[in-house]
Amino acid sequence: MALYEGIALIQEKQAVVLDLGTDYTKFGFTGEAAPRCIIRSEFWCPSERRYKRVHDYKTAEELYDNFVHMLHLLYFRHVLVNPKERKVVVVESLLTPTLFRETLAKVLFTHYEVSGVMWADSPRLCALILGTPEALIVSIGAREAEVTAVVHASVVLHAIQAQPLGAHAIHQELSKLLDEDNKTELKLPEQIIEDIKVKTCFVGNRERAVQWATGNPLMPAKSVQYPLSGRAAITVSGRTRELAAEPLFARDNELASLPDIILQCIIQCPIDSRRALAQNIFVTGGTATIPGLKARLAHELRYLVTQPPYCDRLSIREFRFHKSGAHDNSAAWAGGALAGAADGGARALARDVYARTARLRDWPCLLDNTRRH
Amino acid sequence: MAYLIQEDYVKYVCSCGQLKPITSLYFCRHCLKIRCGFCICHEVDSHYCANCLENMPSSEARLKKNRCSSCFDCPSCFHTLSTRAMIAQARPSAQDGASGDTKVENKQPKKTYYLSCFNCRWTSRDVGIPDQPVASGGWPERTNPFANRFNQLLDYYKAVAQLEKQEKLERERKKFAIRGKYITLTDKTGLTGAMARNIAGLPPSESGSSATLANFTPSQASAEVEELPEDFYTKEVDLKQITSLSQRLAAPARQPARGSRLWPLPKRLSVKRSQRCRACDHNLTKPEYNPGSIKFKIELLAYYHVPEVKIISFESVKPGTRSELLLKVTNPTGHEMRLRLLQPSDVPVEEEQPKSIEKSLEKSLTLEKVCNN
Repeated sequence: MALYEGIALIQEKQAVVLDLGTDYTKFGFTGEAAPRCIIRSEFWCPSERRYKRVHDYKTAEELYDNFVHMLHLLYFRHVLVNPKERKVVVVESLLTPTLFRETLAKVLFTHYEVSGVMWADSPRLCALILGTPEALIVSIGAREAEVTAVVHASVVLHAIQAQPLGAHAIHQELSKLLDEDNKTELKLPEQIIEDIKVKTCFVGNRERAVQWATGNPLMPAKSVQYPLSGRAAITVSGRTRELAAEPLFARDNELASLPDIILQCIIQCPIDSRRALAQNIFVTGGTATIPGLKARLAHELRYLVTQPPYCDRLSIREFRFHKSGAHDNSAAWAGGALAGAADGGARALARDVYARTARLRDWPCLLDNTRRH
Repeated sequence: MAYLIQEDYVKYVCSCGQLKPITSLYFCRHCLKIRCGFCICHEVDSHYCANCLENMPSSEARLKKNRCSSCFDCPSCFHTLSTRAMIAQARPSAQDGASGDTKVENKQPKKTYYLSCFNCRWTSRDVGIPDQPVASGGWPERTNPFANRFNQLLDYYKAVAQLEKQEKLERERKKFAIRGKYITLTDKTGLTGAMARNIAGLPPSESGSSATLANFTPSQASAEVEELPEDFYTKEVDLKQITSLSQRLAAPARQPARGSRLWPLPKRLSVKRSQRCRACDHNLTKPEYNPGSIKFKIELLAYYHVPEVKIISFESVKPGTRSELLLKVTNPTGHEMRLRLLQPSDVPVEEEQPKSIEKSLEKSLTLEKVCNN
């Protein structure tokens, strides 16, 4: 019995990996290939009698409460382990607001008393999945599309590109197009719009997109009658199905479309890593699952690089893409599961260290990114 | 006064400063303080399946990934699946002609079982799962398509982490190596540990990790991206055959996109929670082990100790006049209780909530230090 207790003391508890996305939260154990649950980032708020999203907050106190409720849901309904004395790997974007991560740290360390938290940024974790020294991570999430270059396990910070070209942009366009199709203001809830997107929408190839833009009527895809509960079915025309994701590729003078920001990211990277980056593009994130999106992105990149202003600034003509080693929506999570399992949480910020300083290291903070003399 | 569906009118101040109805408060008998769900520590007590009410030890639950082995959820509507039995028909097959023995067997009707959902009429036959000869268990399982690659990556990164650790140790040793006056055997003979192992006929110590390092192949990027099939533009869309997002995310490891690839979901286990006071570490509630029982072994609810206040009648408050408010206060204990009504000016300033949490953190940290010393 004594020996058994000794083993229990030595053995580190399996850490959990938390990816708190804007729309969906991925949660599970390190060393496992898939998260235990992917659920909407919302919880039942009894005082307001509605589902409340974690990312809807006005004050730090409200955010604190949101985290407490959400983590309680995750720990005791889905993963069923004690949060106490267990390490956590937090998968975060490099552009996570400071308030958000500081509050999360406070909740994890003081409210749930976890023994350590490993803060890991999603681009590097995605690069772990690939195993290549250079990788250009294009992560298309709920709110934003982020393009990050990872060269030898470091992020090229000044080349990070982010634009609000995510699922929410598509939803907005889709609901506008659906109103046009049905000639009324439908006011569909977000969940139904999302369901229509998942079930019917796709991204056509480049030639078709050009034809749509010039107004040349072509043979649209088949339209779909989408049934609604308690209402008449609505029509989702072929045009709507094809053009819903078009805002991601819409170009204007700001050059802020998805292929544009990828090329700009490459241009801003060191010249000796540009070719390798262009040949190691990894498109991930939940929105990347839309059929045809990756193919369209490849076509757009190959076309745009021959156009000004890129043709005289980039001599790269070849782009190569990675097929992922995980599902698109949980690639960063899987990277977190790898990183947490590989070194047994040695890189985690321990609880006593946090208690002493009560702050997190962060790349925009001068305390952390200036060299000590 | 607390209601099931109405708003709670009478709220009590918890020791952490939150306002809660009496139904969600606890009373710690050891600190003599009111506690609420926010300022106590929740713990997982026991795992059980909510459908078959079977207890599962936590080690077994961990092994089975918190899933019941005999109950299933419908992958289409998430209702619990039922096992249906069917008497197998004696089929005139080629086997009959082949041997006479089968005829004898065929005379006895054989029962086969399949899973069926009474809510949406999904059956395990829809997706081609063969019927089972036994009523429970033995259902084929689907594995994660990315599991192999993930395990390769995991081995690789574990090897990398180990190498890193070794190098770090080596550096530390070199830094602090004190040349003693005694010459060690390895210094004198130039015999290193690796060579000693070699002479003794033992396998080199880190052969496993170096082999994994050498054999690892990073993900290969390809210029071709999966294009949309041409018939995508002309094919009719069958909404019933495409899974919704919640159906996909219910199985995070596979995320089936087509209805034909849905697979029964093993039912998720539930937990019984015990609650502990953060200040004194005593149990506030502890459920009985038996999953069928809803009683508690320890149940320190505020309802048993704190007088309950009910509003019997009230007048609306008008300026300059007295209004009547009729309260009913019930003493739940068998002992005498003294009651004092405070004027607004007498209300003591509440202790701030984060302070108490920080205090508890500090306390546990000092405890840790004491243990370490």
